[in-house]
Amino acid sequence: MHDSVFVWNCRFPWLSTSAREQFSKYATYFSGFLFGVGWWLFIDGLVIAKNTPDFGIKIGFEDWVPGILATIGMIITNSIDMSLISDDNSFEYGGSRLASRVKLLLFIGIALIAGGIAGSFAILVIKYLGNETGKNVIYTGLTGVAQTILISISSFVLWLFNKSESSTEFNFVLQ
Amino acid sequence: MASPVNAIGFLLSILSCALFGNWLPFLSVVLFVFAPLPNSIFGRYTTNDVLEDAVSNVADIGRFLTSLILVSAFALPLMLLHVGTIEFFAAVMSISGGLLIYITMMTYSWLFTRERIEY
Repeated sequence: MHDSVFVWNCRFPWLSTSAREQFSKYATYFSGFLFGVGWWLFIDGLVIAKNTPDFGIKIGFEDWVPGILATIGMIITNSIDMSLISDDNSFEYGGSRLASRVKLLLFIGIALIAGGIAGSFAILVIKYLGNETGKNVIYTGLTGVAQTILISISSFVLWLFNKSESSTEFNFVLQ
Repeated sequence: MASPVNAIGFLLSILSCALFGNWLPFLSVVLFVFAPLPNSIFGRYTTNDVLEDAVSNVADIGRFLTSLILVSAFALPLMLLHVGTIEFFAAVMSISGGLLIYITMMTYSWLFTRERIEY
């Protein structure tokens, strides 16, 4: 059934069902915590940049792009129902090819998150590390990287511990 | 017992703004007051659809948004403190006052829901 998809099931047999339910609930809270911390770090960096008098670098829209990309990727990745990905009826005549479309959507989401991280690193290296004209420049550059990394960890937590078709295991699906 | 705690929370949060003449930390208290709202809205979702699962992902959206608003309520005074807009004690008083208000609200809602289930 899982021919083209690598599915890693991390079972926690020592956990009862109610404890697993609680664990999933607190994982969602923790994911929201990480997401909020990431965006607020970024806003803190922007406000610091605005309020430092000798800040040599102009803040533009390109600083916002990696975080927005990572957030869109997080929304796409976590909107996918994981039970659809192993729904492999695409070889039948007239099959809906739903699984392959879901895999394409998952790929786009993960690519958006990875692109956000790569973009934030690129902005840090090109824009901030090159010309350190004032103080707090490195801090503002690092908050962008911390933002995308925290958003990706938040997405990973939400994805790993969401409820899948069988609530007795946490599924981690890789393509 | 809970209403004096609530009053102390409001007193602390208003003092944190009024003593220093800067009313920006009050936004944190507004966030603390609105923090349980997504959980209470999304948590009551029920559907008439028989085919859909009883446990839905809608409650997870509520938990995510509640956690996001709580983190914002903590992070706003800390950001203002980091920039230097407000004093250290204003940030501490704002966060502790908002936290007292939030704890009171959660205690009340927990008591009332428990009573409703038990009758």
